[in-house]
Amino acid sequence: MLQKLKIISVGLGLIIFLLGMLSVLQFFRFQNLLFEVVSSRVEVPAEALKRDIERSLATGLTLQTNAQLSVMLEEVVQKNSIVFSIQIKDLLSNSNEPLWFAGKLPGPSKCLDDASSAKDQGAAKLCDTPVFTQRWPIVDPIGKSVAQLVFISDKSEVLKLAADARKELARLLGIFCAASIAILFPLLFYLLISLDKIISAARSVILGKQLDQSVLAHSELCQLAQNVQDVKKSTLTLQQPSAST
Amino acid sequence: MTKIDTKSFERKLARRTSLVLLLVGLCSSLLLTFLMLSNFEKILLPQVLLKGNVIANAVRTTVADSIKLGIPYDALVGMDDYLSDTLLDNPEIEFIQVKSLDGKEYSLYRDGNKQNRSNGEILEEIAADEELPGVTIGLRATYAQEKLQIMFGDAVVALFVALLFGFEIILFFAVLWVLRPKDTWVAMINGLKMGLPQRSLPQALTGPLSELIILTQQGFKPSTKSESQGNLHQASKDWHEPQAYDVRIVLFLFVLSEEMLRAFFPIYVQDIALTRTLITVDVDIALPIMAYMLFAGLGTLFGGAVIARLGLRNTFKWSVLISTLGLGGMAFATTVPEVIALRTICAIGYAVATVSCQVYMMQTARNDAETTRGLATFVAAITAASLCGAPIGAVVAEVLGLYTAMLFAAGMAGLSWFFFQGLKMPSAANEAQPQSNNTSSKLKDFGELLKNRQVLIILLCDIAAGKLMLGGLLFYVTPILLISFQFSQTSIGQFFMLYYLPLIFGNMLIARVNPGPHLKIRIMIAGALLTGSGALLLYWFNSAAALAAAIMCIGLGQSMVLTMSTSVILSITRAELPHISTPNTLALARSFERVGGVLGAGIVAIFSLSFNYREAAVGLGICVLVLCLGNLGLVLRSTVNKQASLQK
Repeated sequence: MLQKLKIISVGLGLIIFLLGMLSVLQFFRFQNLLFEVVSSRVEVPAEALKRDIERSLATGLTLQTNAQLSVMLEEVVQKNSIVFSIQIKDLLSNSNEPLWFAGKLPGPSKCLDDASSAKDQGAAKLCDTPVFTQRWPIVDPIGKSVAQLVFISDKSEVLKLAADARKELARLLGIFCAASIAILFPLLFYLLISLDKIISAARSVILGKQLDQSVLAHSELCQLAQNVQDVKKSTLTLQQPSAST
Repeated sequence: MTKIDTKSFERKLARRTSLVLLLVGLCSSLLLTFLMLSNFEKILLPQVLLKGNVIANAVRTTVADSIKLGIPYDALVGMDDYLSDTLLDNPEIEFIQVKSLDGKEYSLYRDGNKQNRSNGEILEEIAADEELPGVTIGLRATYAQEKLQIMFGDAVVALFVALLFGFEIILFFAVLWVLRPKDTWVAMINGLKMGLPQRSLPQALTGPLSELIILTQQGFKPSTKSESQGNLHQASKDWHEPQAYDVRIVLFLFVLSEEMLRAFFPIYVQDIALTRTLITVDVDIALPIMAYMLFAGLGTLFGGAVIARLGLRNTFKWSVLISTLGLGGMAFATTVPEVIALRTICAIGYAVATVSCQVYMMQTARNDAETTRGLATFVAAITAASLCGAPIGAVVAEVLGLYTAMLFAAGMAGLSWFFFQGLKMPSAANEAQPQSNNTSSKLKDFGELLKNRQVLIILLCDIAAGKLMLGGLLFYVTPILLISFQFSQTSIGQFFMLYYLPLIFGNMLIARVNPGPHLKIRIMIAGALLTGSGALLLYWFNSAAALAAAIMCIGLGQSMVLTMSTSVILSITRAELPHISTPNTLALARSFERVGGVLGAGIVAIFSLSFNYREAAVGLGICVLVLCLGNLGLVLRSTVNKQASLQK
């Protein structure tokens, strides 16, 4: 019985492994797709803003002096609830501070600084919020990247969606594993009973019982058992004359 | 003795059990995938609609800004270009329509000509007011389904990988519970039939057949005490004779540990190189790959000598140990030189361990049929591990992170030792080494082989050329290019199957035909050309599809080259250099494979200093095609030989 259970558990383990692996692979693929779709929502206003900034550069205004940029950034943040903050970073200067900033959440580097100092609890709390950080280069009329437009947007909504999907997937996986076990267990048990019958037939052959030729012809184990019996007989035949002499 | 029926009860039972497992596994997997994707669609669709709303608002804001600047709505210049750009950037939109209250309309449809909306669109509308026009966005209702269809394709790949992995596990249990006990029983019966004295039973005899074996053992117990004592020394040797299949799971796990790195290794090195650059980032990525190929080649060459000195078990033990240390160490590596050193260790471990497994399989063979079966088992285990390795490694890297994936791979290598240490080694009688296997005679043989023009052409223009593409394009450039195409780790892992699947199917096809010597040469050359030509697609198309096609060309090309080149090179050696042993010829071919791998990564690294990765891949393809021209010498020789044989 233990042997049967061992064999059945290997079969069931394989099916659970198969379904589990499939679910994990598919979940991560879906999560990436979801992140892609949600983050692409930010791309639309970001591309428009990038175009406006580049247009202002083309008119001769520099990024440092164009005070209108602050208003433009603020406007985009207000119109898109998913966007936490927007920064314009000067690529030509060594300073890490943004040229222009709008919104409420500082950049990830600032977050790290704040978290390490742990002085400003409000900022630290904001830094705990999961975010998407997307970057676009700002190119001047001669084709040189002069600045970087950084959008920091809310990721918590999409993570919640992913968590819901994971929960639902786990539920489905559980149902399917249970269903597979319910179907497989009796089938495998039935098949193993057939194996038991073959083994008991082979055992009886080893113990000297004669089997029907048609059964013998169709069972490898019974044939091997018959060979054992034949060897036994020949050994006995050899031993009898030697014993009589 | 009764003839064994191929439709025996046992075989029927095994078939039925496999069928039941396969059917239940497949049906439940497909049903789960279907339900899973329907659920994903429900989550995805509202997000697509939200994006439609954002686009509509963005279009309206842009128009409003223009109107604010004083441009009349009726005379908005460049509106078509703007709408066209928006359609291009957002593949989920079918059309955009901007319409004012007085009826003036700007609209653009994806197909350019279509003027009527089809039914398969979901509309996102912002109504017009006195000041601003209304915007209607037509979202393709099938967009989410299209994305999910791609996911379904991925699910099929994942299912294939899981089935393959499951097959290896089943095979392990089949060996443990059925094949090994059955072979032990057969060996016992044959031995007793030949009058051999009774031996002990293997300690790890489990499974349903063990009962029958024990019963047989009891039936032939030594009858007297003296006989029993006399046979005591024999009893130390049990009835179980090691078979090639015993080592299959070991080889599978060990190769899997190395293959798991395929999908993310260049990205991992890039991460390190970006923070602490040794030469340049591109060269830094290539260096560990080159070092790996080089030392794997050396390990393959001298693996046999190490086995002869240390013995099979010790050699495998040390190989696994250094591989595990190498893989595990990489999780903590912070500089490129550390990675190079660790990869070197891994390469030596990998090469010697695989040679150990091959030697184990060869030593278990008692005749030609068993040798062929052993080689087939060796190839099958490596192929299965290669197919499963990259997708599984990618998932582990995505779920647990790159560094944990390294530790996971190290654990997998360590696990292979767990299975190996329980194995019985092939008997010492079979361990006789080929006579001329010392280093000096080996080098002499290599020299003679390299002096043969035909052999040199095959080694350089076919074998090494193919490995140039493998080392340069597949193992180096592919992960980096795919990252730039926005592929996830999981998808990158699955992408590697595009190489292995054509390789397997190509091999299967070629195994069914038995071409003559001249056709073999032609197939081999065609394969070498195909291997290099695929990369040229990247010159015209900068897309993942082009890269996929290039990789499939490599797979198909290599299936034509690998089998044929070995066969051709061996037949040339037999005919022209009969005193050179087959293992030495094969060892030289393996060395050229490694040299190709080293140079492939090196060439890409050098090209990438001046060009981008895509162009570097094209350059590599051109190099391979130029190298293939060397085959002309082989074709001319083959044609002359053919004419000569016809004249005879």
